[in-house]
Amino acid sequence: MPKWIDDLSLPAGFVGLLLVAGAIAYYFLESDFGWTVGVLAALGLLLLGLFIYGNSVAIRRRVGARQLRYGTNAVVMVAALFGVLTLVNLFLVRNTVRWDLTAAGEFTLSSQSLRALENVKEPVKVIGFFSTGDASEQKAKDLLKQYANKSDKISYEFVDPDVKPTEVLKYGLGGPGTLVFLRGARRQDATSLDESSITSAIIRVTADKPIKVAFLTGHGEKSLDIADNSGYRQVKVLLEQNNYQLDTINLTTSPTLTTDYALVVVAGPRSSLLEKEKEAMKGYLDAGGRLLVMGDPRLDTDVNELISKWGVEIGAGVVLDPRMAAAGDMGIVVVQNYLWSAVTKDMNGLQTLFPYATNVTKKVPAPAGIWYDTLLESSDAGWVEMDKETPRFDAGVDIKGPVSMGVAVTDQASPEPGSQPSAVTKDRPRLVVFGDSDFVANGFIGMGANADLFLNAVNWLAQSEQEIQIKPKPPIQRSMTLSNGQKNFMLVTTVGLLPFMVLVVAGVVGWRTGSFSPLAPLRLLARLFRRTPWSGGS
Amino acid sequence: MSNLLTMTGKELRSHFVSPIAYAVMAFFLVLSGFFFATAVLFSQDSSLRYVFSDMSILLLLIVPLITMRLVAEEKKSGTIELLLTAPLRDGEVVLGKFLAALVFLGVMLAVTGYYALLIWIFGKPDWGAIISGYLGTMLLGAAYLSLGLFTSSLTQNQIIAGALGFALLMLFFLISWVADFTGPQFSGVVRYLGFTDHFDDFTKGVIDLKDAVFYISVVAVSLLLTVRVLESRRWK
Repeated sequence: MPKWIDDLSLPAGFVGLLLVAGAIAYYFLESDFGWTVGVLAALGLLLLGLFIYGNSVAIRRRVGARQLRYGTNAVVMVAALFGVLTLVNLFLVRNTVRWDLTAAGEFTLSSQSLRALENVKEPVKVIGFFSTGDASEQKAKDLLKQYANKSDKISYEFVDPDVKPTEVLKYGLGGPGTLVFLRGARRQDATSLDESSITSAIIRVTADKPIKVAFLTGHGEKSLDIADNSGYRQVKVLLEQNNYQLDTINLTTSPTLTTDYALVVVAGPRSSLLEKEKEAMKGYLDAGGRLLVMGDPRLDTDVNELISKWGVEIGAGVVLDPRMAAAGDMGIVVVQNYLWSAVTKDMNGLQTLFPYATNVTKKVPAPAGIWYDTLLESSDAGWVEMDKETPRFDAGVDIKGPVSMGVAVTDQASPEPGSQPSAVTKDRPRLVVFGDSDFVANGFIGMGANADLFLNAVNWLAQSEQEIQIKPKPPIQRSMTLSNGQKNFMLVTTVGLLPFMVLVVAGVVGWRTGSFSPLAPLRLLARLFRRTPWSGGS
Repeated sequence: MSNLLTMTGKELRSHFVSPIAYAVMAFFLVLSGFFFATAVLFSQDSSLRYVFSDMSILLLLIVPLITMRLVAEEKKSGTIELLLTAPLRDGEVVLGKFLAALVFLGVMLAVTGYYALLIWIFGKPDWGAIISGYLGTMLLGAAYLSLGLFTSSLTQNQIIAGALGFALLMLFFLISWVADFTGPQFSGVVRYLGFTDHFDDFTKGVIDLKDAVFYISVVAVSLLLTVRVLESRRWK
């Protein structure tokens, strides 16, 4: 061995160690395995190699030739097994097989969701905003994990809005419980934690084109460009944030309306539609169009003509609710009663404000093939005031509460009257009718969950055929109703009786075999507990 | 094969004629019973999902108590020399000790089947989720036992073996916490090495082949390392 190697080996080993440690430290500081780390690590390992080579004789003498040979064999064998198992694990990361043993297949994605995932070609990042301790966070994680397992393009992370409020501001969120789907600059939010909502969000965020929504104009409707309290500027911002492309249409000047528009919104018209406008709307709905109508009380319009075919009608009076009055004005109704529907399924516990709304009625019984979902109601202390002068319930004139202020309509029938309803709603109209257009005007959209309710309604109406076909999994009822006696029985038998039985068995074994005293396990346990720091024993 | 069965039987007998085993089992049942009672009585949900999660933490404490004496005691008393010179391969000795400990763990978990019985009487449990939960707990427990056995082979002091085993299990249990700090190249690998991420699906009712193979891989590497450590006594 050349003398210079012998001379340099010790300093080389020292510097080599420093370089390797430096490379590791640099990597952790910068979180990047760049060329700096690579060069430092390579140089360090080279110098360590020089140290080992320079000291090979001393090492062999110290360890012993036999020990070195067997030791090397052992290292090679362990390394070989480790290598094989690493390869098997790597293969399974990409090609694993999963068996969902739950009775209802709770953790198996539907074929529609799998098809939607096949179309995901670019990375989609999902950020879940949930406060610590929020029980729904686990549900969101369970769901997103299924998607991430099926597609390497889907990734997700969770942010606590209380810990990182700047993130909430960055995404302009109303509050926790939201999933934000991001594909490049495109974004889609989902507030419902179920498979259909998440698949819908993925379909929408990965779609090449935004969903087109038409706002009818020409009859004094709310304007998307007006920024004062009565305008709809905030509606425009909200919908554009959620991948909708908003157009205003005037059917008087161009009376054609195609199903290129996923949805037509009629927001608070104050005058009647012309015949040719009604014809255009009828043609659109017959072709499977979707309609959101927001009417107001005591307006001289014929908007009801658009929706009467489905047995829905916007009332004429004003809903008053002394029990749920906001700011002492019983015309501004705080709504907390939501009936279960695809639109309101996640609204429980939230409140919305409806200023000077009217009632929405539905035909009883429903026409063949028509399915109604009442969305929200006033409290039973509310009523529809038909008289403009005296705000007092008059039996026989006013309509007693609870008063419905929103109805969703699903038309499952073929257009011919009298035919049987079909299970598939493909190309069939859907309607949502609210008895108020002001609840999402700039002055009210930020109050309570008004924006959520409106966005839920728009999302439900604009669902594509692919989204509609994902049937929500039925909720599984696994809760127990236990009496105090049953609870005590469970507690006593699990914490007390079961361990006691083990000690009894131990006593019998000890007594029969004579290998230990029947009380030995008990003494051991006592000693264990006596030594615990909280017991204060020594 | 018969050697392995003999070794397993001998080890199993030594488990069940020892007062320590029963004390450990009673200790485990008191705590797991407490977790069951608080989780189920609080949520009134006929599911053992959170009980399995609690057991995965509880076993971090229990398994070192089971494994710490397995080899260390034999080293201390000198009986390891008898074992290693007996007509048994080192692999059979290690595998026999591991299998016996696994059976002991299985018996301990089988007793907790009483919890499943209770929620079946008072509620409507999902048996698929319960079966996969027990399977996951056994696989996780097997990985814990193999690592504990390995640390027991490193020393003749049972306390050091137990402490070392506990530290190693904690490391694997918590390693995914630091995944985010290890940079994009390694965070996936570090997270994959964590025991918790592989366990979650089992508790829900989903068996993922990747997770099962991960635990079996840990067992295989740990047992091979244990065999090599025992063999190393002959290299000198």
